[in-house]
Amino acid sequence: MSAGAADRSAVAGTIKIERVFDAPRELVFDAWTRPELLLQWHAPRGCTIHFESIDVRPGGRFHSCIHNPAFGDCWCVGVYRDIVRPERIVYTLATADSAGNEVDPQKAGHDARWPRETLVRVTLEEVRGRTKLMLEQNVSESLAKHTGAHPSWLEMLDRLAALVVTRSTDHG
Amino acid sequence: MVVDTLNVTFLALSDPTRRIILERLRRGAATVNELAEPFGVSQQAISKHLAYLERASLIEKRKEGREQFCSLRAEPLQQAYQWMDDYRQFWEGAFDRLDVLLQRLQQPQRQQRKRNVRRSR
Repeated sequence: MSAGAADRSAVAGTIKIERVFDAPRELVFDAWTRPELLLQWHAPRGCTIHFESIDVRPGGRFHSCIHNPAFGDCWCVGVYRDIVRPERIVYTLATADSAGNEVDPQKAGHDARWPRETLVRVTLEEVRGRTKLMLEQNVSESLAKHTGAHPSWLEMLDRLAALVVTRSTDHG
Repeated sequence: MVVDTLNVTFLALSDPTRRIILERLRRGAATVNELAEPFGVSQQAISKHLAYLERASLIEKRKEGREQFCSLRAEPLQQAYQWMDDYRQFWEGAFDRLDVLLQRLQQPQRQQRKRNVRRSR
């Protein structure tokens, strides 16, 4: 499924992405919960991921490092809040150091765009032998921590984004 | 620097009056008087809000005769939106790779199925 207008929303600071995978739900769930499979995809193009530790069960923790050839290493820690096979995975994600301590992203050398702590919720739904994945990531909390601002204006940001798109189209 | 720009943008957006002003300017340029009208506050109070927006480069002021016109500038909003979009790009990239992995994991089963079909003919 391509990223159309309908699956690109960011209401009130929550990123929502939907995507359909041509695979059974159990297999997609495995790809999210079996470390040897996560290693093979859970990083942007051109980057690699390494797990210092990972314990996929409710309350379990992970400590990961995404290596980006351009920006170097980005360490993260997180806690699995909810895991229901084969339909739901919920976890926190926070910036950390190589020892697994949470750190302020800006002190770790990232810019303010880097997340401090966000909540990721993955829901899997079976649709005629395929799997619809819905991902929600709450970034407003992380944003509020950085700027001291209230998330309410993020709603406006989303509305204004429509204008931004129109303007850039106008300008060529 | 990106960090400073974002902070100034978000500071400007953090006030409801300033958000209403921006919403009004989406419909086109307006004079300071026109912008002050719906709020029933002094022009001085509105000027203070406009200064925040101008500092964040969210608006542009232009003098025409005795009137001062304000208009909306989209660039800082684009940057702020980009901030959100970075997260999305992470997932889109990772999901492309997940797609490839899922195809690969299913290949042995699919080939087996095809072979079975051929054999049963």
